[in-house]
Amino acid sequence: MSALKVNNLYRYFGPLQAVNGVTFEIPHGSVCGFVGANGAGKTTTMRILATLDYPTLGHAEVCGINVMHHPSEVRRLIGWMPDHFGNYDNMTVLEYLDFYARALGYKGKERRQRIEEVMEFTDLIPLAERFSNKLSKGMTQRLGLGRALLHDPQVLIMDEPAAGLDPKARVELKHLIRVLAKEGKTIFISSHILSELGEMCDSLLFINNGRIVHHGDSESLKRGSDTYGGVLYDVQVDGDAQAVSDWCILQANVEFMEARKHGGRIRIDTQDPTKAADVLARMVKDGLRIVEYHREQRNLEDAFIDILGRVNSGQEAIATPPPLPTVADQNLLS
Amino acid sequence: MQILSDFSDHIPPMLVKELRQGLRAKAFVIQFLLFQSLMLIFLLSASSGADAEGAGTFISGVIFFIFGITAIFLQPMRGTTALSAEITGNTMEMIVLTRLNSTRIVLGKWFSIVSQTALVLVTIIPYMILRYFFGGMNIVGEMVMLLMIFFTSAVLSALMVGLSARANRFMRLVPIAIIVLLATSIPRIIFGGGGISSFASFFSMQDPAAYGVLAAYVLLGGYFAWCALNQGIAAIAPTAENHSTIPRLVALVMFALAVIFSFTSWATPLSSPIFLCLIGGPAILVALTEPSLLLPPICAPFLKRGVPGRIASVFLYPGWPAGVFFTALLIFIGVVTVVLSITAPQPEDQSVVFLSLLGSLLLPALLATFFTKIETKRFSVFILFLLATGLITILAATFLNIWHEEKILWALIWNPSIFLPLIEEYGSESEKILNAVIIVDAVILAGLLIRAGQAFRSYQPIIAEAELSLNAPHE
Repeated sequence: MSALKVNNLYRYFGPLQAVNGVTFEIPHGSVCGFVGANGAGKTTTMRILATLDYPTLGHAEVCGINVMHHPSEVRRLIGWMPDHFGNYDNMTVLEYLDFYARALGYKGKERRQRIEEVMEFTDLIPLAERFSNKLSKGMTQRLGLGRALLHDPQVLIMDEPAAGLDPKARVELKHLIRVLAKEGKTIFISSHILSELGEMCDSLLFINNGRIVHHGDSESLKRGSDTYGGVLYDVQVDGDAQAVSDWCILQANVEFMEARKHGGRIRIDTQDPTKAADVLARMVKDGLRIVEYHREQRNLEDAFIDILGRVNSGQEAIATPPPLPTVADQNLLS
Repeated sequence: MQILSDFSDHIPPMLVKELRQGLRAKAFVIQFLLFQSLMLIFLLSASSGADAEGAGTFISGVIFFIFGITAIFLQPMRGTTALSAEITGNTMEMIVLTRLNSTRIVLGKWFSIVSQTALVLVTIIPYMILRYFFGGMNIVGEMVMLLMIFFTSAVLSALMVGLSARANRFMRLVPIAIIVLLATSIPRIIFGGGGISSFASFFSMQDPAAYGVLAAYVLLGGYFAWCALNQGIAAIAPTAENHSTIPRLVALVMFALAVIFSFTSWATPLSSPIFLCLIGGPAILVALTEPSLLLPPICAPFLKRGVPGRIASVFLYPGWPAGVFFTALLIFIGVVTVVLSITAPQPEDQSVVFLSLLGSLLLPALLATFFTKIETKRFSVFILFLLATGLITILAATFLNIWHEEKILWALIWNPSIFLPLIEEYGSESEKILNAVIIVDAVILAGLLIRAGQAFRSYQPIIAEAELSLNAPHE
C-alpha cells in the first residue's frame, strides 16, 4: 500500500482547472519533491491530500484512507506544513505547542514529554518563552515543523517550507528533513529550489497546468536526454580546440554546442552509450587527441525546462480532461 | 515545563488557549483596571454624601451602568474578529487538522469571552456588599438584573463570535450596529424614567409575569445565541460536514413550542405571531442564505434511510435550495397555526406587518439566487439586497411624506417592505393592502421554489455518486 495515492484528481474553481487529472503514488518511507511553477496546482493537490480542500472529481488516499470520506482518520496520519501560517498574539512558543498538543488529544505527562521531544528536535528549547509572533521566519518554520510533528505523523506534507528562509535556516531545515526521512517518514515536499529537492528527494513529481508531466528520481533526470532526445558531452583535446568544432561540422549526428578552453560541448543525437563510444572512436581515428570525454549531467532546472518543452511540443502524451463535471462546482465554488 | 499543570487538562484546549491570550490582551487588562478604578472612585465619592439611601441608589446606578457598558458593549466587541483573525492569520487550518472540530473551536472562543465577563461580574460582588450597607437595596431584583445583563452579554458575544467568521468587514458591522444600539439605551434605562429601581422591583419575582418574561427571555436569548454560534460553526467547518440539518431540526422543535404556546390561554392575537416570527425569522434567514455546497458524504446519511430519508433531504440538506423548501414548510405551519389558534379576528394591519417582514426576507433571497456568483458570498449578497430594498422603502416613505402621492408606494409593491409605510399611511385600505401583500409574498415564494427546484436538479450527479459509494464495498 502506498503512503500517498492520487488517482485522476481534478479540482476546478469555476472556469479555472487548478488540478487536471493528476495521478501518482508515493511509497512509504520515501521523500518526494513536488515541482511546478506558481499556479501549477501544487498547493491545491497538497491541500486536498491534507483534507483542507475537496476534489471536484477523482480520489486521493493517505495510507489507504480516502481523504474525502474519512478526513478525521487521515488527519491523524498527516502533518501539514503550509508555506505561510500565522502565529498568535500573547502566546509563547511553549504555549503554542502546548495548545496544539492539547488539541491533538495529549494529556498530562505524555503531553509535556511530547512537547519536549519536539522542541529538542527542532531546537526550540532556547526560544520556549519567546512570543510566537516575534520569531524570525526561520524560527517560525521550525515552530511550524514542530507543530506538524507533535502527533508523530506517518506522512509529512510540506508546501514550500523553505520559501523566504535565509541560507542558514534553509540548511537547518534541510537537515531536519533528512533526519525525518531517516526515521522512515514519508515526506511530500514542494519547492521552487530544485537543486535542494534533488539532494533530499528519492523522487520528483513535475506538475504543469494542473497535470503531472514527469515522475522519476532526480539522478535519472540529470542523466536524461534533452527535449529532442540528445545528450551533451564535454570534450577536451590536447592542442587546437577549434579542431573539435571543425570535426563536428562533418558529422551527421553530432552538433557542436559551445566552445570551451580546451575543446567544447557537443550534442550527440542519441541516448545509446554505444553510439557515444562510436563517436569517440571516430574522433580518435580522425586524429583528435582526446584527453577528456564525459557525459554532462544536467541540472534539475534544465531537466524541468526540457520536460516542459517536450510537453509543449506534444511529445509527451497527456490525457485530455473530461468535460466540466456538474458536482456542485459549476456555480458553487468557494 | 513545570508551568504546564495537569489541572488544565480538564478544560477544553480552545478555552485554555483563549484564556491565556485573552487575559493577557491589552484590551481586557485596560478595561478591567478602568472598570475597577471607576467603581472605586464613584463608591468613595457617593459614600462621602450625607443621604445614605440616595447614595445607595446612586451606587446601584453606577454599578449597573459600568457593568452594563462592559458586559453589553466592550466584552461582545472582543468577539468581532474571533474567527476572522484565525482565518486571515492562516491559523484556522492548523486547528482544523487537530482533533478540535469546528463546534469546539467556536464554543471555546465564545466561552472564553463569557468567562472573562463572568470574572468582571465576580469582581462586582464586593461593591454590591458595600452598596447593601447604604440601605434601600432590592437584593433579589438587582441580582436578577445583573444576571440578565450577564446573559445578554453572553448572547451578544455569541452573535459577534458567530458572525466573526464572515471575512467581509462590512458584514461584521451588522452585529456591531445592534450592540451599539443596545449600549446607547443603557443610560436611558438606568438613569431615565423610574430608573433601575422600577426594573428591580419587577424582577424581584413577586409578580408571576416576571417568571414568564424571564423564561421567554432566556429561551429566546439561548435560541438566538445557538443560531449565531451555529453560523460560525458552519462557516469554518469543512465542506464535507453537515452543519445545517441539526440547526433546522432545532428550529423546528422551537417552532413547535411556539405553535403549542399559540394554543395556550397565555397567547394573545399579537404575542403568538411575534413568537413565531422571532423563532422562524433567524431560521429562515440562515436557511435562505446557506451556500449550496453539497458533497456525497453529506447525502449518504439521508440516502441510507430510504424514502423517509429522501423526503427529509428535500427540507434538511445543507444549502439554500433545501432551505427554501424548509422556509416554505415553516411558513405553512406558521400560517395554519395563526389561522387555527386565533379565534378573535386578527387586525389586518398586524397581518400586513408580519407578511411584509416575511416578504422582506424572501425577496433578497430570490434576488441572491440570480446574482450570487460565488456561493460563499451568498450571505453578503443577501444582506446587500436586504439593505437596498430597505433603503428603497425609506426613500419612498420620505417622498410620500413630502408629496403625499400614494401611487409611488403602489408602484413599488414588488418590494414587500413597502407595505409597512403603506399600511401606516393608508390603514383604511387595509383589506386591499393585505390582499396585495399576500399575492406579492406568494409570487416571491413561488419564484424561490422554482429556483430551488432547478438547483436541486444539479444535485443529481452528487446524489448518484453518494449512492454508488453506499453500494460499493467498504474500503
